[in-house]
Amino acid sequence: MAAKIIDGEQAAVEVKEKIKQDIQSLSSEKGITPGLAILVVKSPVGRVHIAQLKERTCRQLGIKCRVFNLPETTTDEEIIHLIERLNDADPVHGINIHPLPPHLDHTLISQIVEPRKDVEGLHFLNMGDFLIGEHHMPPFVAKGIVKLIDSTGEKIEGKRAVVVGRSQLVGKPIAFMLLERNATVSIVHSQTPDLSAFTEHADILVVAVGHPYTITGEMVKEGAIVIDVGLTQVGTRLVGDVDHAEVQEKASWITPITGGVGPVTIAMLLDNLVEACKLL
Amino acid sequence: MYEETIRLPADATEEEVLKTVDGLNKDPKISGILVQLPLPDHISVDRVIGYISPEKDVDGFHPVNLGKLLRGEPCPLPCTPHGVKQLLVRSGNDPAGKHVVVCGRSNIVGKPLAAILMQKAEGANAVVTVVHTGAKDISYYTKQADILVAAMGRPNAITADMVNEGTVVIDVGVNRVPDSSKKSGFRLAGDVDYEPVAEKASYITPVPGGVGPMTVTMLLYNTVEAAIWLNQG
Repeated sequence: MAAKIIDGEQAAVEVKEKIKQDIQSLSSEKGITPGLAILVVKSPVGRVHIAQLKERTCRQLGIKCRVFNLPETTTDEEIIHLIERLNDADPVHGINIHPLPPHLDHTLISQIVEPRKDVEGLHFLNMGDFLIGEHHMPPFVAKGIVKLIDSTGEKIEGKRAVVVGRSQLVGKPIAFMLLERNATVSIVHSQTPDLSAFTEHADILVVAVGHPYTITGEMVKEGAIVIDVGLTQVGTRLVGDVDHAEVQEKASWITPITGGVGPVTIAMLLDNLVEACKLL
Repeated sequence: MYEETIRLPADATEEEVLKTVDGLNKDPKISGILVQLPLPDHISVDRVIGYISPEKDVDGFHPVNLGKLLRGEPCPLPCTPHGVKQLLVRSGNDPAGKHVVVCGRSNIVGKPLAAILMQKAEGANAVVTVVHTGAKDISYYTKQADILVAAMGRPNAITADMVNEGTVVIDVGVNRVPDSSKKSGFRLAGDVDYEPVAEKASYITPVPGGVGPMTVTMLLYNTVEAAIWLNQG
């Protein structure tokens, strides 16, 4: 059986349609034009084009977007000072911080963002509300992944979901979001003695470890829905955490390496932005 | 330890409760504040809990502290799940690398316990599976557990046929079961069918006398930790 491809671009189109309608009513009812600030600190591993992609999407939707390109030498204090300024700026409704170089303290910096402008959903306050099922500002990547699974038409409820990886941005949030959707959820990680003992029973398998080819064909259940969040540059190629050639022979649905998780998570970031505007 | 019990009447307004919390937030004699739940319907639990200074939230339920917990940052851990972790570690059943199956996904036990045990941290690092009423066959999962935590709030929900030989069983349930032989008319029972399960388990907690005393202990532990933190200058 060859897996059907989960079309992240199409899922993103659907989310963007909803955002457009929201933006219209925000404009007519409240006179608000959503504004997003993106902070990019130059980093040897950073992918600059994602900021440009977000900027373009914002323009298409009628969202004001400003990208702050900061030099590699930026300090914690400088970035904190900038965030404090953006917290006070009325035209800015959301702040998005791109992955930071290791000399910066991401946990500290992400807590400076005003919770109502925390469109990533990573502020402690938003994470805590999220944990107890109050999704004021849910982590946007997890929201995108759920949208992808829903787009297959398969039910999440009652399924066995296995999440590989426990990162702040993906693994932990998606585990609790799938639990909220009534899946039975296992979360496995680098300290798990035998990954395949879990992955081979998963109806829904979400992989986000950042190691190419962690999941091979024999580790996957026949008919599984496989979401591959990993993306690593190997030479000139981008490769996923999943060995697609092998796994797509067994899965019923699988995300492509590009055009899967990426587009829909950008859309969900902007969805969090308009949702934040609605609360004003 | 200094202790103060403040009893407010059932018809106290939300504003009065918040004002009381505010006074305690500012009181240097107080390191920890516990709001006894449930609260009457006219008072928002979320608002009251959210009003406690996170540094004095010894119950660990302030959203900021729950967010820290999920992110794996130091914070006061909710007392019951924290007690379960201590029971495991102190009985020589370190959860690292083990499959922990948590039955129940309440906001006070199941979800925070899952979040605690999945972290990359000492006394954690487990594979955690959360099962609940939405699962088709709970025993399919419970039989795979190295460590089984019952927190569903249903008496005798875990029976011997659901447990594998050698499993570590932690019973968080406290249920009142009618019992005419008792003066009160009831007895306390856990979520685990104790006697038959104890035959198969390698370790098991009784009810009462298992998780309960740990919950109280961790409340006091959190209070001392808060006092140290608040007095660091």
